[in-house]
Amino acid sequence: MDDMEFVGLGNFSHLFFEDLVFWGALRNNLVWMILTLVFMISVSLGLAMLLNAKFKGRTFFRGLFYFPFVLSGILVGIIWRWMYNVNFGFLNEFLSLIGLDQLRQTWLGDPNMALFYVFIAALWRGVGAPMILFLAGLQTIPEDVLEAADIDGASRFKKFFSIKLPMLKETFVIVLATQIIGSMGVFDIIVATTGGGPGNSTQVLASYMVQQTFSFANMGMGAALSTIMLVIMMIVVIPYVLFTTKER
Amino acid sequence: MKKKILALLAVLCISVFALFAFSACGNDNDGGADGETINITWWDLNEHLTGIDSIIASFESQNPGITVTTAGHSNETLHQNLQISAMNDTLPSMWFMWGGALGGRYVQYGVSRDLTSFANANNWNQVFTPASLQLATLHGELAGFPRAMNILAVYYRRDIFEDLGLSHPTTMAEFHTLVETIHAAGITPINTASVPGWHIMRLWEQFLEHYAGAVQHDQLQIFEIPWEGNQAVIDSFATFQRYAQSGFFPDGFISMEAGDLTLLLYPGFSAMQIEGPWFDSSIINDQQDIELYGIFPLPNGGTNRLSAFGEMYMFNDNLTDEELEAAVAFLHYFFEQHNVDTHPNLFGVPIPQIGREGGIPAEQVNVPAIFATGSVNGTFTISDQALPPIVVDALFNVLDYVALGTMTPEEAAAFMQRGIERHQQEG
Repeated sequence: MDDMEFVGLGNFSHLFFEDLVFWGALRNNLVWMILTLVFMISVSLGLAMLLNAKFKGRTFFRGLFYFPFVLSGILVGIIWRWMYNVNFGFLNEFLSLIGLDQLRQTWLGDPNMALFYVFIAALWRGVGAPMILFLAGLQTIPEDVLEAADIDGASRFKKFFSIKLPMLKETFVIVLATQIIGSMGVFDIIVATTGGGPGNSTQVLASYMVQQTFSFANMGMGAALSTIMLVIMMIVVIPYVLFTTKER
Repeated sequence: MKKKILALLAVLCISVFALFAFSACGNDNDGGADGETINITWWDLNEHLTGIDSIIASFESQNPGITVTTAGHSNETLHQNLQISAMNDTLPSMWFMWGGALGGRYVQYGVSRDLTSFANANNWNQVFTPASLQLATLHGELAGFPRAMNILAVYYRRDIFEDLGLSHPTTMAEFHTLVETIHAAGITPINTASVPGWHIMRLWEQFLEHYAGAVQHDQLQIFEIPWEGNQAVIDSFATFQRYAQSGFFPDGFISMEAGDLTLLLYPGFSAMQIEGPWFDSSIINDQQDIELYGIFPLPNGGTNRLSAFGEMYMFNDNLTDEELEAAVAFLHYFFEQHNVDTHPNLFGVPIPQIGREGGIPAEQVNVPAIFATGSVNGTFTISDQALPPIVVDALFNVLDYVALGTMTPEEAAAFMQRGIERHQQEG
């Protein structure tokens, strides 16, 4: 590694002004973040509400929905890559089995939709973590407050928006921060499903950084991408830390 | 309570710091002399290490002072782990590597041993074939112990060709007709995948050889002439695009992994796949009928040159002379004919050593034909070894963009030129 040459801000300049992939990767990170905030949080909150109710077998279902989260992202990515496989995958085979051949897709081969299909895999894997946090938050809400609301004739809708949501404020802060940070660092599931393709349509900053650094020995570019990711993460992390310390 | 939390955090911080501090105390090299024992650490592809324990055990019993420790990797993880290790000076004693730009990067980093004087002292010019030493010479250094020479041809399904009444094409026009005929029969003509980009590149470079001709192709590879606006380059991308968009590749090829391709070839869903001599042993190891497969050179014009690349073992520059001698002694033992005979599908055959040209296992029926064709037709260096990494990155991107139709062939040629200019700027 003796022949390194100092190029100043050359790598940043290349990324910002010449590189065809960088802005697409950053956009994909932002799309992923929006999908996470909308779907990951709403689905996990919905599941937590359902699993907070008293019914037989709820412990089993809590474990069932949490289970995918303990699997590695690479493993989940490989499972879903095979599910989406055009020629042998479960999804296309299932569509054929029920006579819906016309709905068979190229799935991960569609550059316009591939990111969303990968996100479904990530949703399946990741929903358990915020669900557990919401579940813990819901269980801290005092029963007497909810009973008082029942006595006052509050509807389920009213109780949810006027009591439960406000009392989950701290849980939301933790979930939002961890999900935003996670969505900026998303890597393993993308690498295992699409490798950032097709045509870089699912490339995100982390996968692009690894590809540049380790596949193409482009260390300077990899370091520049890492620095940009760090700055973006700090924009989220610093307000989060300030908020949580102020609350204490 | 607050004090307890602070104490806990302090302990945590000290632990993390200690972890980092101790990690910096690691040895530069996993292999090395430990008293009287020399341990050789060896990284290779998983398939190169399958079933070799008995060879290692036999070597170790004959050489009590030497132990050999292996670590297998996939193609991609081998690259990644070597890159990481090269950065923090923790490379193994020796590692498998391809020639060209892939192996050349370790020479440029200054982390691999220049074997030139070692080879001279040990008369390697009387051991290895001149071509294999040539392919292992990178940036003026003899960078590795030659493992194999590979030449790529079109593997095809004999049964499909017989059913459709097809014969080997002798011109590019005949090849196009052949592809269209197979496609019309409901079979995927070319079995290729785009993840990662090197498999699909094998077809594109044949088109480039066809349109550019041998001389201009070689000039393009060393950037003697520009790619932007070059009609041969543009035509090669245009033909590649036509193939990608005409259903001549498998459905979903753009997101398929090259390692999964045999799932389509073995059942006969696809008819042809560009591969090298190792593919015979893959077919045999996968318990398929080797008689179903034949080879022909893709008729790209001129002498119908085939693409080729070398494989070798590189050595850590930190090795002592004793360690290097032990590692080389092991490799010489490893490649002895009795090991090749007992593990016929493990080695890249023929072994690129003088006098061993005929040592090809009888069941690998296509290998002699590949090397005979390569020797008559001539070869060119495969693109991802001929071109530097930044340009290979550009090429893999371009092939995807062109296949998807998001880039025209003219834009693709210009994009390649940008990659070349960036490489040249960075030296």
